[in-house]
Amino acid sequence: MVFAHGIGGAKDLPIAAGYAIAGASAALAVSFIVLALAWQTSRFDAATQGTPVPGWLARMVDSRGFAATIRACGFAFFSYVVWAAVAGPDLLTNPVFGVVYVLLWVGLVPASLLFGPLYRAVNPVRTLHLALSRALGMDPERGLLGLSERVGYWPATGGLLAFVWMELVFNHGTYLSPVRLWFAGYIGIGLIGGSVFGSRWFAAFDPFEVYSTLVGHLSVFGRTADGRLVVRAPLRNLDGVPGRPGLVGVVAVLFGSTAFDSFKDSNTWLGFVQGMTWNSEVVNTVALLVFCLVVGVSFAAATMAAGVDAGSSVRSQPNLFAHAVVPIIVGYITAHYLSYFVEVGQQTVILLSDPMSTGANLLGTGDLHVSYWLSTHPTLLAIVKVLAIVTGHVLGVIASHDRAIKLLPRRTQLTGQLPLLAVMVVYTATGLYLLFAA
Amino acid sequence: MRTTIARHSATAAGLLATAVLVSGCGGADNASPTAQGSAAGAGSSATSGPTISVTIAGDKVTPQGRRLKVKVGQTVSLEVTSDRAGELHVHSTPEQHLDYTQGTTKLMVSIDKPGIVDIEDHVADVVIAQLEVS
Repeated sequence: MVFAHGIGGAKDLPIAAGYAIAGASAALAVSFIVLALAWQTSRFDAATQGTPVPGWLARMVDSRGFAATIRACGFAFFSYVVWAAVAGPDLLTNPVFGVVYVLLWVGLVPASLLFGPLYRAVNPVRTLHLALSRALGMDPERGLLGLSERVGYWPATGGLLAFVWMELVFNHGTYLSPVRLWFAGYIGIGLIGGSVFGSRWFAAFDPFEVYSTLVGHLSVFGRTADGRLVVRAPLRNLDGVPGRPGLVGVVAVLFGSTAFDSFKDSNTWLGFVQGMTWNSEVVNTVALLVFCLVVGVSFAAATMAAGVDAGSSVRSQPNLFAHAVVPIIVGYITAHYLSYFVEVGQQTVILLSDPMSTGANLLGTGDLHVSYWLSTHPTLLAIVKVLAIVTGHVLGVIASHDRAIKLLPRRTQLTGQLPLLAVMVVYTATGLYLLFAA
Repeated sequence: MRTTIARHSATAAGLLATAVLVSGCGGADNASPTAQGSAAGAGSSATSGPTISVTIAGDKVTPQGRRLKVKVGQTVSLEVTSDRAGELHVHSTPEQHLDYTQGTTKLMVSIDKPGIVDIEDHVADVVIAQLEVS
């Protein structure tokens, strides 16, 4: 269990009160500056904006060979990890845990920020579904039944909740059999849903794909309505997030669970859980759900309070604004997981060379050493965390401002934004407070 | 995430894991004040720090979740009075394990990197103290 930092290691120090207050004040000030001074006609339109990438790059990315190569690489890595999960020892030196909780769950955020919706391109369950459909002579796009628009992202909301529950609440999340069982369920539901509804099921259900695709909208790579590959500013790209039903559920689980993770490590919560006779898993399950519900309900209430034009539905309003929470999530995930990702990520890359714990060095990474440079510079780490949170907040406020101009009736365009702005400031201040009270 | 992984890994991995993983970390040695192992050895200019008195009766452990601010490399003494033998897990990077016996055992620990480090009784699954190391 000397699985350095994270999987057994120390946690980050709390940030200084001054940093938290400065960050929260900056967030508050910028929010009102955006509201008062920013543009009054919408500037973001993901359907048309962007500079087309050079022809050769577009042809390469859109080629079958490129897609097949990436898919093959993803499946090769998946098979390697399955081998470790099935045949490897049930020890923390098994790289499976680091691959699942660090490289996959945390790593998909930076990977998608850089390259766009990466998980979709490598998704091993999609690959399996594709291969099965081909083998049976069926069209992978088409299923037996249509998938109602109203389903939206709700299946993924459930999938994300199931994952964070295993990660943050379940006491045996670092044993092989529960992790294998979870992923067996994930693959099974993916394949069954894929054969019933066709491959569009993955964009509705797959928690990692939905998460990665959402974050990928903050990369510089996007597609216009006619499918052209373009390069554009992340905020223009973010405008392209489809506001389907359930989007608010997805962002509520992502933000709420990360806040819960901070909170559950605090001294206050530790004292509370240890001081009571109830089962800690029950208490933590309730707390996790409360965090996600508070985020979801407060966001829905704030957006629905904004008012709508005659003819549009107030109930769809939260999903049409939920994309604006994505930068806030990314900022908060950066603050929460940065040292964990960098340090346990290195450890995982080292362990990947020895999946059977036999002393092997299959990938040549086994002799590397983890650099703890980040942990030994806590002031720098604290500054990066606060900057990440404030940057996420500013981008979120701009995104929601632009959407408000597009959607809200003219007379309430300014006042309609106030409840949402207040909720965002509260999210950011809470995030900073949790880092301060760690 | 960190605590969850840390806390529950030990049970399955058990002694084997401890033996395999605590390489270079003489965590199982309570007779010697160098129990903190090689990682902590880096801060060889260790200054003596606070003492935590721990009382264990079966599954009842005091104190619980006590916060202490200490300096990097400073030695923290743990005076464990227990009616059973057991093991403390120090969730530093890398992790350290300290055995105690029935009766009173004096243990020392020091941390070589900044961060929050939980000290946990492995048998009762209780966090005794959190060291805020800076």
